[in-house]
Amino acid sequence: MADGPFPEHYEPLECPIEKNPLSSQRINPAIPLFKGELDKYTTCDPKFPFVATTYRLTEHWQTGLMTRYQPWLVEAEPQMYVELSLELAKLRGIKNGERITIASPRGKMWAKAMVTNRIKPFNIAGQTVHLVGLSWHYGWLVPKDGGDSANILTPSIGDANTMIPEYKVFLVNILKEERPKVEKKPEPKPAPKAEAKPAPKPEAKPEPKPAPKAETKK
Amino acid sequence: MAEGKSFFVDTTKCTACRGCQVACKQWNQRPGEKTYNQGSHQNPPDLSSNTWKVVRFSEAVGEKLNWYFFPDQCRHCVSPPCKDVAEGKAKGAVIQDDKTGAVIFNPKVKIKAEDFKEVKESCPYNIPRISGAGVMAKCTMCFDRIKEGLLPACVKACPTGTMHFGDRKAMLEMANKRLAEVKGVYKNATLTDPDDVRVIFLLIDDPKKYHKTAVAENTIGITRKMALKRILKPLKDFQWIG
Repeated sequence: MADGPFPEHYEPLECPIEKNPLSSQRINPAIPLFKGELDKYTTCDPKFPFVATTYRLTEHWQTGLMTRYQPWLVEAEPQMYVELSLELAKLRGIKNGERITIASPRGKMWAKAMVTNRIKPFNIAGQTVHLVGLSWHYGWLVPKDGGDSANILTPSIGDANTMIPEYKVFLVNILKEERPKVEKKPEPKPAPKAEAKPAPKPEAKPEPKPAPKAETKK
Repeated sequence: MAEGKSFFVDTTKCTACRGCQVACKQWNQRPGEKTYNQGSHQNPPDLSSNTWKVVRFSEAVGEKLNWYFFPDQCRHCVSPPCKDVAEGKAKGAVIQDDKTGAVIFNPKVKIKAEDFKEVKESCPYNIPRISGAGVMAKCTMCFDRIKEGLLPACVKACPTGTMHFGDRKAMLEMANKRLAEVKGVYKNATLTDPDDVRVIFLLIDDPKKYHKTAVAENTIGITRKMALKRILKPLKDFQWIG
């Protein structure tokens, strides 16, 4: 055992309070900390005031490499999202379903805001601390515009004995999305007329392409 | 015909895992749709010609968290208004099975867009959808499974005991028994239109909080339009009512 013999409470590596209320040691002293370029940590930083946590979904398995190629599961949970409380949404002027940016000292990413009653602000050592919840099932190629993995934000730290990651607590900031909207809204319900219209469009598009090629060949 | 089969959906046990939604697509070989997160875990956002079963999520805003799950699907009405309307528009577009009571849209019969609009309006639960090819589509009660004695795919997939399927009499008995149990805790608990439909939901709150068409606005068959159509039809069509 690297730490022990008795159980002890330590605060997480990144936490919104400066002192461990139970002892003078804030974080576990037996944990090795990495010293790489991305191993930047922060505590009580006004630039990153919110506590973030990560969790799984029923629909996807771990990083989603197996389940994100399954159309019925991607249909059910298509995009990276961040769950936040009504109070925090009001504070930052965020609307439900909006694309927002989440930043930690290690990186930033976008996610769809899910404003919900399921998440409530904490009262930690007399101050109100807001919580946001993220999943880590998305990233890279599939699905298109699915978003990135929350692992962009998380610190590389584990427990003293087995290095089981401490991805359940870290600090982030959330901002309204600065980028212009790329994403298209889902098409209206398939009325036969509406579906008849898009059909000729793809035909029309490829047509101009071969024409210039033929000209250049000539 | 008064007997046949029925579903009992005990939403007090539903965890919104959406096993039923995916199992429906798997058995009926419906493709996945391109969806976006709209600020809710519910997806696809609505029923479509490729989505016959969708678990609707609704969160009541207030101090206390009320998160309701509603596995929406065709109710297989005992006397289906869609059949009455479709009969005059495209013959054989809607079929009702004598033995089970399943209401089935015939995939071989095409219907005009304006006729479909009337069929859709006749449905008190907003279920019928039409594909680009002009064919109506919705839940079939997994007719191909139940005629072989299997459970519908959604019922088979349900891991929590929310979805039940069986003889109508047994299902009504089960629903009423469970309602009596639940009433002790949730005073507003109700069954949705148990006398009119074959998919009976047990809800613990105002049905409108689950979905706007969780229960019929009017009792089936008494809208003015429908009443008129009924009167104009010959009596022999009504032998199976009651």
